[in-house]
Amino acid sequence: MRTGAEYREALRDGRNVWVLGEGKVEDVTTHPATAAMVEEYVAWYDRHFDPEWQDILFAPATPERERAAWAYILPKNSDDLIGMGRSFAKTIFLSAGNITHTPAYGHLISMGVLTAVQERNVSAKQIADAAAYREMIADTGRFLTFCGGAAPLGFRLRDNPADRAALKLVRETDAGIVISGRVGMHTSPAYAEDVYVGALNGVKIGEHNASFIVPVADPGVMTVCRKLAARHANPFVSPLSSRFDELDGQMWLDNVFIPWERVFLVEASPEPIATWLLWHHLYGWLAKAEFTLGLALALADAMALKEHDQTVEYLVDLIADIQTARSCLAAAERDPSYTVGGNCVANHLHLLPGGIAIFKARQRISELLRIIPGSSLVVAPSDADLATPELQAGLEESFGGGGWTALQRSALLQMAWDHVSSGLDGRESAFELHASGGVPAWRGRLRQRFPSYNELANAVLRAIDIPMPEIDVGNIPAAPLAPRRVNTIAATPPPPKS
Amino acid sequence: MRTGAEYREALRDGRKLWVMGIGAVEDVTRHPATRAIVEEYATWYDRHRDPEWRDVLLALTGDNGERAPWAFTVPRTKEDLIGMGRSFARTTFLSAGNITHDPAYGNLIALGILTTLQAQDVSQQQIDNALTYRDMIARTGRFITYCGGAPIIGQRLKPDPADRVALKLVRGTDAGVVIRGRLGMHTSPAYAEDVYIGGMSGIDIDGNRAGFIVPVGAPGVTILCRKPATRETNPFIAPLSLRYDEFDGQMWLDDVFVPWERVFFVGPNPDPIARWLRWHHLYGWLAKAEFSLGLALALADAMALKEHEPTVEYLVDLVVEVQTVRSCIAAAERDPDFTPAGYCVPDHRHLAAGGIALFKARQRISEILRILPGSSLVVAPADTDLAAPELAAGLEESFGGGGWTALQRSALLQLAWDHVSSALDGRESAFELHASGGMPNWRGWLRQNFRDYNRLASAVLRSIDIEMPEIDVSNIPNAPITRRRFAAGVPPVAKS
Repeated sequence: MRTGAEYREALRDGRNVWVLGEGKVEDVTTHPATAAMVEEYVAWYDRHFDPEWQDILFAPATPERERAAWAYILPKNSDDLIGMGRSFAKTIFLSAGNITHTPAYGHLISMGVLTAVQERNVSAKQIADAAAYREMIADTGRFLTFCGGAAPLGFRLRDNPADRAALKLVRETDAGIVISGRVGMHTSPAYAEDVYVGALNGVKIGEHNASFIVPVADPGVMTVCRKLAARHANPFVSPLSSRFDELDGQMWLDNVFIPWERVFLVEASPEPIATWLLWHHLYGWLAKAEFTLGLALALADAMALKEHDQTVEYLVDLIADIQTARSCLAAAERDPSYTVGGNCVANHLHLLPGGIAIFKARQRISELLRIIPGSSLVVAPSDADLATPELQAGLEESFGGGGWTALQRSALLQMAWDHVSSGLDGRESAFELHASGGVPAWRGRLRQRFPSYNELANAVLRAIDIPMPEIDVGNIPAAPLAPRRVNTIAATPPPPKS
Repeated sequence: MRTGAEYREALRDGRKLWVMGIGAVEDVTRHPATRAIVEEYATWYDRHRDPEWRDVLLALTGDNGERAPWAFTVPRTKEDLIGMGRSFARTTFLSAGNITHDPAYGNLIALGILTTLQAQDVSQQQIDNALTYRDMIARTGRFITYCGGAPIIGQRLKPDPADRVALKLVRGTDAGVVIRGRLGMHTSPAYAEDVYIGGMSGIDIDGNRAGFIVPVGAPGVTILCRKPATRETNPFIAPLSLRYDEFDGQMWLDDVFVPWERVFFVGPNPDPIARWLRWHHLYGWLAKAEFSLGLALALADAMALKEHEPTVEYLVDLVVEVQTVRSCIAAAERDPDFTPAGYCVPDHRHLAAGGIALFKARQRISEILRILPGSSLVVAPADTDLAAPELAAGLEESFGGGGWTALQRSALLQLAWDHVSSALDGRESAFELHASGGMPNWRGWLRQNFRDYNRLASAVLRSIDIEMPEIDVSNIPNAPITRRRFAAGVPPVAKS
């Protein structure tokens, strides 16, 4: 495992990064828009050298393998999944569920690529290339992020359907291919070293859909990050926003060369790769919910409400939602599936109800945290206000007491506000409603995987004492996932308004 | 395992039984109000001899192919829980989740008594007695049901608080105790052979809160069952109601002798026993939900709606609810707890989450099944209507077609109606909202069993870069479960 300093140095690779509203970022490690997140990733690597984290972040040696970071284990059994899951849970919680794209997630992407090419089975070389890439990032700690490959809106509205794809193949050579185009939303490209561009990009090689791993710093690559989540400059007021904005972005490719060993021929759907990623997504959402519950419990103590029945009922509401997701994760890891390559993967049949439960609950979870502390949440002062001579005594009288100073209680209230009433919170919600397809995609996946359609339908017929037709509702799971959204393009598009 | 015929014969034990609105029942195996359920229980026993059910109902117990019923297993591993759970799921589904009290449930009651005593400071004799009883029912198949022991409303309103208990100790002897009183709702006493009466009955013996196992056929015992769930007499219209009304009841005890080996110092808290029972409850609720989903899928086919996207969305709504509970049960069995004696028990955090999810969903599940087939659900004919010469052709034209005869489609619609729009459905809902305490109790159990209160609260404080107070919210899990309900105020004088 490399050190955080080595990771930081690796980002000084000449990458071409823009942040909307901020302009060009010459050095992501020092620019005010990006430096804080770089330091969070630095800490992610360095945590692996921290004695206090050893038991959580490292898998013990076994007869089959040496001691290794859970982040880079190729799981072979349920115990591996449980160990990896615990490491995800503990690390994502630290950012309140805001940093969901880490090098460990990158490793899951690489396992997804491996699974996808194993399922497609185009050639042994394809599989060997994917396996070699995964081993390389496990050896080096190189940070990979994921882009489905979908085109930005402007492309999707073009007159000619052939021009609506994100990427175009410019040419093929013996060494690789050259591609151009623009790909839509993905996360942490400013901090990653490679981006996997999935098969939604539209490039076909032969009869196969092509996907690619593209170095962020390659010639011709430009990363365009979204605007920052608006945040207060004082970290007392924005303890999360000032640290955990992982920045989503687009990527523009201008005649970028991809060597053949980074070209992967996969099916059109990104689902084989999502096989691994949904597991991590659910841990991210659970981390946000658990951080919310932690804040709610701390506030119940800080606001002297822990004996208040209605407050406790609100807490139990949060617990019920969190325990449901935890239980689904426990089932997914303890009743796992296996890939065609023999790797052990969290069972989607259990992950999906957990994800859907959180999707249903997340807005209410945020509301409960806004309710529990009372209106003090809205009017809490900053440390600067508390240090102002004209206000100090009055604010101490207003916010101190019961074993908490005004500074302590205000710090907790500000963190709760930053968690569920800030631009960062809004970004997290907007992002997660799209990132893995939102509720429609999670429902669609469960629809495909639920195993008992005909069994249940025919079983109820046996309660009727006359001969009945054989039921076949196999069309329901067999239906493909609905496309996320299809833009309707008028036959004669209106001219742009002047 | 005894046969169904042996079970049927065992019920002719002189039991004193009354069904509200019907009157005295001399022989439960023959009376029209009760015999159908007796036959269901007889089938439960006989199913253990059916080769088609062998792999589901019988566990391999040795290397030589010996098998024993999962229903009477003492679980020691998660594999045992998974096997027991599968047998519960498959058998409970057959009655659409309506028969929730069966001899397998009785084994869980016996395990609950045993593990409660093992966790408490009671004599070895008490533990041995509980173990002997459990082994006896495993050996014989004897059927025990559960009564928490709470008094009925009239007793709870008595002027003297000392009289507001269900039972009183009449006397103790060298051989046992004599008790008297009246006990509130419990299920299937008409069909069980023993009733366990829990510590809520209010009897203390030498300072110990006692529970009892009372034979239904013992002298002095009277069972009063509720009115039957109203139903049509035509099984085509009432395919479930006619077969699966397991009857809840009360029990009156008039100087009933209970030998010491059936007296257990379990304490006043029913939770250690309920820890076993909630697992089975959740399987019962899941069976009802799965039966609803099965009906919805069959109706989507029968009504030619399986390609209709809004219908499929309704189906996915049901799939989500069913799979959430399946996943919680899978977690509970694969991530189990262990009792002090080493028995393996499903983890309650996972069970509670599943139970709460189903409590939230169950009314919507029923509504979706009422929506899904369209108004044909409401106007579907009976087999007798279809056979009436004046109507046969018209009804065939109205309800037949698409590969289904009018008889077949009507049978399915009637089954759906009986499942979610009948008095049996209403009884199931009313019963389950009380039987294990309803949503308040399940939330209370989750509140008690959830881990990480102080850990989560303290962990978020570490994100703040100033010294913070230590959080202690352990009062939240430590609070007792709120009493279900208690009568308040001084009762008025009865009106003449």
